[in-house]
Amino acid sequence: MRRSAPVCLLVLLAARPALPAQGVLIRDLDRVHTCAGEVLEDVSILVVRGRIVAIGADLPGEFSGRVIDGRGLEATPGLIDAHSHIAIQGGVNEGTDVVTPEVRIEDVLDPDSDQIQRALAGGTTAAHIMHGSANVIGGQNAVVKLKWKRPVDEMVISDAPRSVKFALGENPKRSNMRRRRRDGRRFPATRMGVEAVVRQAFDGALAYRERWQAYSRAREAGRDPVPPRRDLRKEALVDILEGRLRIHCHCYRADEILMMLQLAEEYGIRVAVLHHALEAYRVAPEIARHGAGVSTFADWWGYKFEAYDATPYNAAILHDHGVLTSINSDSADHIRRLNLEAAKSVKYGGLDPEEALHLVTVDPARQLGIDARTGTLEKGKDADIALWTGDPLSSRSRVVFTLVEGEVLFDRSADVAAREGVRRVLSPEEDR
Amino acid sequence: MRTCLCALLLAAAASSQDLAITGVTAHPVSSPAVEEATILVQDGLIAAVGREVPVPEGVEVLEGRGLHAYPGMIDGWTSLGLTEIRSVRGTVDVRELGDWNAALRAAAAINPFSAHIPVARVNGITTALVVPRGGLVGGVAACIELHGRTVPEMLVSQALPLRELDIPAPPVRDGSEEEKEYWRKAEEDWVDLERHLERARRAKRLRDLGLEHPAQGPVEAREWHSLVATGRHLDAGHPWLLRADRREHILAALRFARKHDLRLVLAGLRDAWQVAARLADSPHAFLVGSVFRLPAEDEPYDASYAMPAVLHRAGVRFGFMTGSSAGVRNLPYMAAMAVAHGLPRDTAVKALTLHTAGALGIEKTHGSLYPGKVADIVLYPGDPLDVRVSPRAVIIRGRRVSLETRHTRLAEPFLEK
Repeated sequence: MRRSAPVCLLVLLAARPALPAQGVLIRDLDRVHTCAGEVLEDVSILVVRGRIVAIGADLPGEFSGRVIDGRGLEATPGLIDAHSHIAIQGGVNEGTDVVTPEVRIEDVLDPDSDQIQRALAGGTTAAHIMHGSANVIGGQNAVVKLKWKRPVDEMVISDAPRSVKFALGENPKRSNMRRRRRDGRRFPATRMGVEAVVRQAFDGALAYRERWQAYSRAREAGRDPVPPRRDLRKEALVDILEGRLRIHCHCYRADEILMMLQLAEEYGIRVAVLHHALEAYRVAPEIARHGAGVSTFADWWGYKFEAYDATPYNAAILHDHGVLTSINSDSADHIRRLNLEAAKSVKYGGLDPEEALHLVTVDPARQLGIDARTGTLEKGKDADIALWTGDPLSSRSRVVFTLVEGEVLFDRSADVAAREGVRRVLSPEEDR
Repeated sequence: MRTCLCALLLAAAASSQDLAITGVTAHPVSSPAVEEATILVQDGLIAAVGREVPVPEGVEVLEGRGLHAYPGMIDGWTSLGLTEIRSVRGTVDVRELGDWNAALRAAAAINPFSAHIPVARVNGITTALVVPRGGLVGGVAACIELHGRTVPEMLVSQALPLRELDIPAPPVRDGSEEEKEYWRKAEEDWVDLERHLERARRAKRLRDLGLEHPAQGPVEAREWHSLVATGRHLDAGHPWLLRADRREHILAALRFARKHDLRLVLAGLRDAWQVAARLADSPHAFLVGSVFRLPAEDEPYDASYAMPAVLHRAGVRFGFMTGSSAGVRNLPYMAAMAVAHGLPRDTAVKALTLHTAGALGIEKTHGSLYPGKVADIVLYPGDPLDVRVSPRAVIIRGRRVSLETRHTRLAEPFLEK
């Protein structure tokens, strides 16, 4: 599988000698994990205007842009977190109602949050920033590039498919909430109630759509009907039923997973991704048949009853059944070392190391529908790149550079150099 | 591509406690690695480690070629056996009510059949301190081997009877009313603790004179009981176990210990990098527990990862702790992350074994592969600090234990398509 890249940069550059200055050349990398089926050795990556224009073995003679010495380093695609709640100013849950798909994470994104910088320092470049799991149908999520301190519009990946959060089980039941909390006693309080909420919401949306269709028909017939009252909530639900808003569903138990898949099928739609899904290994064939992906934790368990039948072999079992699987963080801390979370699938279930790396790069990119632009290192893709001091799955490696669309947004030596006072004790003898 | 799980589940049920591991690379921790070594185990203890160790006839031989033998790792602070499912109250016995719980014993409530125990040991953690919390004095921690049918069977008798002090950690430094209220309460807590220690000394003296508790009623009786327990602990000069993470909290603990001539085992230590020299100059023991945590906004991104290396450079000796139950298995990766950020690998391995043993007072029997020590040995096909590597064999008190866990049992029916 490993081979040196045939692309000859020298030829490429000879044909087009004047490179624009906004490029980056990462020269002489020990290894490039493309996550597109190849591990290349002793190659360079050329980035121009935010895109990868070449990955090859030879060096250009002259280059006017930034040059990063890649000797001793390994490159991976920037890591992608399919489930995160960072940088939203605490605005995780619109928990006051059971069905709230009209609210949008995009409206509370905070590009200045230091959580973004922390995630970049761990090699993560894109994330699915999600609504919480307090209600059965939550809000609309945002798929973002981690462009720290840039305007929100630049962070949001505008051509990513829209997604909405659903949640099943203990959280929407509020079973672990203290009773005196105002939202501690509200419908639903059982898994039966959870299903009923979804069905009722979908039926209401169908009726709403029918009212608008009747209105259109009447207008087309030349009449002058009174338009129905616009309802943003029902509009979002109609978008779900028409496939414009893809379902990302928080769940744990095998039975509730099947319930949700069957319910979706009944309405002629598909669940895009099941999140957490710690018991998904018990219904892997059904999930594969439905066509849903699963985004799970590497080894969390035991924190609530529905997490007690978890097994860290979950990801490997799903992967073997052909389910598109990713490992996510769901944590502002774990997003800083998704590589190690992925490495656990080598330990539990014996995944091939490159396949393990896919769980936090190309696989979540496919789940989020952004694989045409990120998640692999290939010519034409966005230059979202993490550079590591060694094997990216090793606990001993660390990130030294992170690029998002060709911009260096994390540079360890610059970060270290900027430290003052007592903070200097953390990095006294920096090697790079 | 897939290792057959069945092969990993080899449940060796050898009843004899004599065992010879041959051809292994032995990492005694207290001395350099020995290749092609034989480790001889007799009566649950390590009898010999070396190249020229004769294997007595009839002793079970475990072929260790290609494997690395390390002493079992020790987690300096866990709630193993005291909690099963965090959100289900009926399964949690970690925190008792009331402020003064010195008389409580973790050993009275550990469930030897908790699913968390095998999950921890199959990743190479063979010994753990189980710490009760709740109130200002939480109770007596228990040091256990992670294998056994009953608590008496599991207890490591040489362990110090550490009692837990629990002063709540400060909230965010934001100058809010909540924060001011915290500092007022923290001051009161230290004063209360001071008064409690004084009363405990008196109660112990009265008790030694043969006086039973003078008060009436169950609450008073419980307090008397607690005072006597604290008094005995003080008299014996045993160290106190205290979790301190914030800088102010760590410094306050050091001041309090100096004033009352207490020895501490300070655990947590998230801000310790800011006061490393102060720790080096103190007589206390240390357990690092805050490697995997998000740094505060004003800290560098790698503050928690680099903290153990800072302590090491300042000359502080420390062990590691997870403070967890479900997450005990990830103990070695805290050390690995510290290595990636400047801690020498040898020191990291010592911290996971010998230095934690030292903090818990069991270094004479645990923490290295040394003749006479308890045979807690783990065999790895590679580096135990690498997330991808799993133990091939776990030996506790000379006995090879099953690598089966709740997690392998749940997965097994689904692994073969």
